[in-house]
Amino acid sequence: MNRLKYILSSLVVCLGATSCVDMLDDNVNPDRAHQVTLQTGLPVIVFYAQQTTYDHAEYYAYLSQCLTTTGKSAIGTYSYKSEWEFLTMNRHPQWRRHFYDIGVNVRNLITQADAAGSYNYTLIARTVRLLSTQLTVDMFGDIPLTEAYKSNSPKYDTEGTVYDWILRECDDLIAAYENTALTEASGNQRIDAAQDRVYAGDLSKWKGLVYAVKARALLRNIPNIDTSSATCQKIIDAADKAIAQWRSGDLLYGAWFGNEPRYNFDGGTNEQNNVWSAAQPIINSWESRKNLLDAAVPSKYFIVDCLGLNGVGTKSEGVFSAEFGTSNEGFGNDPRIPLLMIARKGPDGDAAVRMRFLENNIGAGTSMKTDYYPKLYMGAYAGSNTGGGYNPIFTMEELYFIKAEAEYWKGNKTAACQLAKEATQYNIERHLQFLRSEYGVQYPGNFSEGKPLELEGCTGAEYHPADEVWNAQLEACFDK
Amino acid sequence: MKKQLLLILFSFLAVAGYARVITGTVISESDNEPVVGATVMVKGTPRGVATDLDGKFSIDVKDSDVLTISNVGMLQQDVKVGKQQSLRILMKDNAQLLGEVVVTAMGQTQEKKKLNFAVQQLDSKEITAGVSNNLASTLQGKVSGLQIMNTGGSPNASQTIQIRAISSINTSQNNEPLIIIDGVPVRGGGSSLTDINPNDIETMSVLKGAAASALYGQEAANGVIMIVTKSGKDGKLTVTANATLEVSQAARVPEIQSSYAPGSKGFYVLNAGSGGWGAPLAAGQQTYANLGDILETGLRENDAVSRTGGTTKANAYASVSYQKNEGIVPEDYKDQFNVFLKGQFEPSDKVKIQVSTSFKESKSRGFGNSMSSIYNWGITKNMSDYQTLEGFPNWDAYYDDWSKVLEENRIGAAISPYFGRYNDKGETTSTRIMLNGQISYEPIKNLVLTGKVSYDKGYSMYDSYSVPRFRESDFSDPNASYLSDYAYKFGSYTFQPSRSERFNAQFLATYQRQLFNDLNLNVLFGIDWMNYKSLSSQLAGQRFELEGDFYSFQNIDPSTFTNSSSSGYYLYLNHSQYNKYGYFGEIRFDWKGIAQVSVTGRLDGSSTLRQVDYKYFYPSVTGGLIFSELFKLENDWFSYGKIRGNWAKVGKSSAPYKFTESFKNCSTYPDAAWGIDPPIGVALNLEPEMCKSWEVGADLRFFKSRTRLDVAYYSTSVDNQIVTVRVSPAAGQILQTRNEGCVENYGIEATLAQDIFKTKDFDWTVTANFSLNRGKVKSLPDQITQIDGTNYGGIFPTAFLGGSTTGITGKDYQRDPDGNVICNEEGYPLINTARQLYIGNREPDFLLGLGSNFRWKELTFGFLFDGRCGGDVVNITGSSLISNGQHHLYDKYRNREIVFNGVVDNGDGTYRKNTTPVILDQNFVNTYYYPVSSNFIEDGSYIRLSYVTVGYDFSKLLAKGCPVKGLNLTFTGRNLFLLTKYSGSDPQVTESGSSYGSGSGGFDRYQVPNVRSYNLSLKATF
Repeated sequence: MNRLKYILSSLVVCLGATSCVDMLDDNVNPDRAHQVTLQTGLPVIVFYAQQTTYDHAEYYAYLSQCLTTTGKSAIGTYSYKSEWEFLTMNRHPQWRRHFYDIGVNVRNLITQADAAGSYNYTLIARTVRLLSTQLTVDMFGDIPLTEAYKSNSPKYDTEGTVYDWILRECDDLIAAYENTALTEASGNQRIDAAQDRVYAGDLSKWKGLVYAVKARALLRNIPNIDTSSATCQKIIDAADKAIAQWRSGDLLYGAWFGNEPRYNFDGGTNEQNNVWSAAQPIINSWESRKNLLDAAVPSKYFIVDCLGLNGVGTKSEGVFSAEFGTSNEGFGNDPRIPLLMIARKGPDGDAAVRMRFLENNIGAGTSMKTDYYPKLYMGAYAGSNTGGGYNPIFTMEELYFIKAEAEYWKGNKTAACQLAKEATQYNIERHLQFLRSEYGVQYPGNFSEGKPLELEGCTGAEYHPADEVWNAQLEACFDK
Repeated sequence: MKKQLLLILFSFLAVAGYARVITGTVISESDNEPVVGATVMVKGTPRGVATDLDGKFSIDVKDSDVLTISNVGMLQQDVKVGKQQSLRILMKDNAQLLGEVVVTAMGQTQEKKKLNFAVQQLDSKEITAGVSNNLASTLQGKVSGLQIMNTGGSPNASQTIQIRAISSINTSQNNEPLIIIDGVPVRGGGSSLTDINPNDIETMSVLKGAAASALYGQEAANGVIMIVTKSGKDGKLTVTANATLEVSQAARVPEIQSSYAPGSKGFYVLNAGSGGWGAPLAAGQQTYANLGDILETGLRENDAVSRTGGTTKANAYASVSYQKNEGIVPEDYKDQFNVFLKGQFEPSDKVKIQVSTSFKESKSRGFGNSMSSIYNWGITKNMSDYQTLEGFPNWDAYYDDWSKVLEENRIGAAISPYFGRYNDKGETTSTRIMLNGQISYEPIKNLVLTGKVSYDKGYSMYDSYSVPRFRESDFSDPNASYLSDYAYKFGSYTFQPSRSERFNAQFLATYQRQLFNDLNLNVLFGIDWMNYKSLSSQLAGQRFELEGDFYSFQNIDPSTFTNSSSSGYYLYLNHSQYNKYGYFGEIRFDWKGIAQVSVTGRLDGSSTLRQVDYKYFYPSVTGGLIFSELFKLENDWFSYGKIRGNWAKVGKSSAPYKFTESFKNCSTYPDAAWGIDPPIGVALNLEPEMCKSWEVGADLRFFKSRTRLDVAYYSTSVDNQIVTVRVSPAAGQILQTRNEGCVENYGIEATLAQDIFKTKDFDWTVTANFSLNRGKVKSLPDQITQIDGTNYGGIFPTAFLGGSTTGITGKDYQRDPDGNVICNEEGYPLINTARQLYIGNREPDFLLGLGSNFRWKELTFGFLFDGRCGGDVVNITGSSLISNGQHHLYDKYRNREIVFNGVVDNGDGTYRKNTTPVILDQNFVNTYYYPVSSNFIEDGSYIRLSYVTVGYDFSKLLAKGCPVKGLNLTFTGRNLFLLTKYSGSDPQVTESGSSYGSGSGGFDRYQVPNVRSYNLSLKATF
């Protein structure tokens, strides 16, 4: 009996000795990074800021029906399905981009930055989140905000509530950007261009983006909510502050464009390709959609109705006319046609170089290929042959258009028209700057060897008009 | 004189004390027949003899000696010599070896009649009957509720084992049973069994249901297969040698059409080399039997030697075996070498020590699921003319005019499978060592303390290269963009070393006590600890820089090194570790051996739930009553009757690393940035899956137990399914791992054994197994209707809400309310636009096995039928043949008018039968037939003659002084006959060896065809 008691006592001791949790593995995968540094986390957030802008623009190109495809014979699928189509949940980037790619990465970064006392990272992350929230609420209306990330089925806040938050966050951020306790905190770690391809950590320039988002958000009052003079003035003030902020200090992109936020694909570690370029980059093979400009053609709506392609229905349809002083000079009423696309040769029987177009969703004939339609890898965003260039997160032109809209509703139509014209002129200038830097030419059509038209197999005097033709086209556009 | 008399008397007594001869006869108590070959030893000495053909023996003894008599299958006896001159010894049959005592949880042996859950045991003869190249395959049809599926007829085919049903539908949760060898769990599921030499197995018990495996905890949630290896036998040294030679051939190979050349839409197309959509063969046009030529005769040799011997205090068993197995396709082989050593030692009456070690080394090269290109090779193209004299692919054998193939198309050109088989290298070397030690100590009577430690470690190394298919000079611009994704065509190297190990430590205390006269108490308490570690890695790269035969990793172009998994040739190193502990106990009451009640409880802690509540407790209760003894019902025809019931819960934790967010450096992120990694499903909170089950059963015996029937009905419900599902990104995740979902199973099992004859010279037994299971997905997370497995070209293994856990989803036609296909006015069927519809169920209606063994004197004969009713099979192989114009039905039906079996909508809600013919051509097939998954779902019912075996025991013909004591010759044919409507190779198939989630069982996808084999086996005992 004593022996039995002894044995039982030993068993009890053994039980106590096996203290459980310390013996268990920590269950953290050693081969996966479970946290990142501020330096490696910020580039992702800034990258997704430009990505969400691209996503937004990409499917608006579809929604607005500016682009279509030649259809099954050329691309193997229906012209309206799968190409330039974004409606499947898995492919819909905006919701996921905001809540996950930006939202979760921002949450992690802010937590780490606040813990490290490096508030410059916090400010930039909040600014990107602000921009993304504004784009998302514009797309979806009611979205989770106050209860986001708290459950699998968070409550949806109304669009109005979200906009209220946007405007409050704008003011909070502006105050924060003016708070030296945050902007000059001793714990702030240095941010360079490798981390922030937009502003290399310059908080004063990021502050401009807050003003710009505020202007865009306030614009939503027009035309159905509040078109009062006071509201219009608020919009104008916000836009002016953004413009002023971006035209102060050293100007990255000249006097007019100032310091607008451009995500530059200009080298660095693992230089990656511009999302609009012919390199067609995709995130992680399935997490974004590549641009489909190689399979797209301009729609009749875009090129004829919006851009005013010349001679539609005539022999000179879509042909660059060098006839000086006529309304058909150039490709069309809008000088940006040759800035955004390159005309190409057609099939046998219609070999002329033209700006061809297609009605939406009807597909092209069996003799037609996408290569007969204008090449869309052109212009400041999509035209770089090296996959470089930039993708703007916000443009100065948009600020001018915001101001123009507010001025119009304020009753100041002359100012509104002036602002719209100036924005358009500089939008043209933006793409001309690309032509100068990429090809060394001063205006479209001024091409010689090795330039885009040459590469498309197009030569001939009619494609190299004198500069007075280009200037005449500009004058005609702006009614000078 | 007196002194001399005393001396003579003393001498006489001395001689009488040390050297007298005793004789005796050993008789079997069960049939009163002499026991031939029984060992009679003088205990504690090496002196012993064997009984002769009449069961007689004589041996030198002294009065104080004790004789130990032992024989296989019988209980050992000790008999004191004393003053006896002659002995008549009755030996009883050993109930353990007759299946009356089984090994159950924690290695405890119990009389089967005292168990209250379903367990089935096979002895060594039953295990090795119908011997196959792998142990798992031999079990099919022998155990009710046990289903084995394999990935085809290759020596490297993987197996999945399923007991009753799957319990977890998530693709990261394993559904295979736990494998236990000599009381300790080992790594791996069905794949573990291929590492074991079947001849080393003494018994195998299959514990089914939660109650049977409750003491083992979560790893046993899907049941347990308990293996007890052979031990040394008391007596003189015995050596056994086995030699087996087996030939095999492909059985049921899909037929290829023989009427059409490659091409398109009935026309010749320049350089078309695959498929059969071209023009009909011209008169005298040469064709090639590519499929028949590549399938060879497989050959397997297996040689094994084992040695056993010892005394009552110490014994040892050792075995060595070598198997060389060449499959039916070229360079598909597996060579395996096994060594097993086991020793038992009793240093005292209270202490027992057992140690064993098992070593396995194998070299193999598999064929994988690669029959596709062979099936689709054009019949006018000679696949075996695969290489030029320079050692590059012979394009002219496939292409009509290679010069007309554009450069950007050449890089993806078709290459004969022979080229890779004979030129490339891809060998896996794998080593496994298992060490097992246990010590038990009985400090006081009926209290036994046992400590066990085991270590199971395996290394595997896959070393492969593929030779260049091209030279850079074959292309005008080696840097052209169309070549950028094809660097591996200029050579590649892949090296994959991996390692995994498992350590178990267990302490067990058992105590028995008689509480009252008829009431016994058994108490068991234990603690165990398990630690699992693994490592997998890959070094891979593409393009050999130096031309020639320098096929080395050192020759790889370093610019192709990448850690991006989008390339198949990438660098990785992954570690995994998890551990568990458990406290468990059982209290069992036994009243007169008639009624038993037991209660178990187990508290587990798992590192995989470390971030949340990692401890969980689950109990079980069992009860049974031998009503035949209680109510004295035994009579001439009714021998025994027991009813039993149990209820149990078993928890099952998740896979490791489910809680940590993961960041990734995507190739598109500039500046070496790291962002959140979406494909990793992260859990916020998890609980273990909890399986609740109950079971009722009966064990009935008739006609002096010659007829034995065991039936069971069970019902299980697994709640808290751990699933990984898409959630709204507003939750902060893309994929989330969480508990949600419930799976239920219920089923019936029955086993019938009948001893038809049992005499000294003739016995005949029949066994039959039957089982059916119905699994259903009762609930899933909100708005989720299915959990899918791998996508096989639009067909998915699916656990479907409200449907089967082993369902099939894919495309289907539009159907009327009666299920008829709807056709348009032109006679073409209309395809439902939905991407995934529930179109089939892989769960069989029932499984059965029927076996019989005859023995007439020294001649033995046995066979086993196994079969299945129902259970759909997805014939992806067949769909490929259909789509490529290679299916044999095109010989008769291509370009004919056919009327699609369907109905036409009258427009008023009624339908009429379709009578409009359409042409069966490539357009029709690829537009209206091939895209519809439901066309390739077939009924997988079958009856198979699993094996027939004939053997003869030559032992009695051997001369008395011959060193060979036993000689057996056996001839076995396997898979001799398969009756099935399934048009593919074999309906009992799985696409991969994966047993996770809904699994890939029932997917026939280009596996090596199953084989029919004939083997001759010779066994000699020395």
